[in-house]
Amino acid sequence: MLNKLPHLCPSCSSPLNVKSLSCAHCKTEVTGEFELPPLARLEPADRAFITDFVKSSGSLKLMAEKMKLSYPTVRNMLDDIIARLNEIEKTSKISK
Amino acid sequence: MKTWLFNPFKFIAGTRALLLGLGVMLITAIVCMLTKWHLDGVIDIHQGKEGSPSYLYFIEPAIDWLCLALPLYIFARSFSVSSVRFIDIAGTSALARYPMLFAVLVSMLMPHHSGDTQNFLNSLLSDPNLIMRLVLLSLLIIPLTVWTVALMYNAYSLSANLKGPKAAWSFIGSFLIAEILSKVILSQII
Repeated sequence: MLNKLPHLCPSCSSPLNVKSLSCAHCKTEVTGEFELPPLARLEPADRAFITDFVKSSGSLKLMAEKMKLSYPTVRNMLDDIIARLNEIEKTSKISK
Repeated sequence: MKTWLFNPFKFIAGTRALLLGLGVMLITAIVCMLTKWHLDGVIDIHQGKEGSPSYLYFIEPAIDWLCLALPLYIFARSFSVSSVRFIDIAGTSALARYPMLFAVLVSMLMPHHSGDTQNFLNSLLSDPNLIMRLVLLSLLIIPLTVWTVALMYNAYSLSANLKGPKAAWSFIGSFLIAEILSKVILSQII
């Protein structure tokens, strides 16, 4: 089971950065200061929605059919994710 | 179950909701024509005078629906950051009227009012059972009215992607405009 990627500091709630990356195959480690992209800071359900949205060629109508939901429900879900992304970008700018 | 009762628009909107809503409105209009009840306002049901033309029973729900859908759409476009579609507002607000069919069916059991209020009051006062029936059926109409308004609000909130005070106040505004507008237009037709 993959652990949920933490993106906010549990102590001060500031955005977390990546300090080290490792290769699962040869165990090579890279350390530094890497900023997480805004999409990676979203909740897993939001990321799954965006993946499905891209796979549906950006068609909300197709997404609605797949999810068995109405068009405005799916559009509202996308708008909510856009709002969360804007908030993440705003928080990232403030913390820099 | 609760979602299907109060927010079926989560699953049905747009053209599908419009066709379903228009279908229920047509059935409601036929029942109204047969029982001489009028939908003379956004959520109004009144017993009418004899001799109303048949077309009036079909025009009334259409006017009630459009008088609400148009201001809702204008407010939605003004307040929402989402790309609101008229078909969603029109479709969901048409479908939101389906409890009116139950309200009309309940109203059928009401004591008959031929148009002469004095005679109606005299018949009520002379028969306590009639008063009891009127009170009980009126009490049944209240939850149906609340249900209709709740559906109309949820239809608007979802179609416009508006929540909280912005959604509530713009809905109340639209509702008041719709009530006045429908009464004025219907009074001009009658």
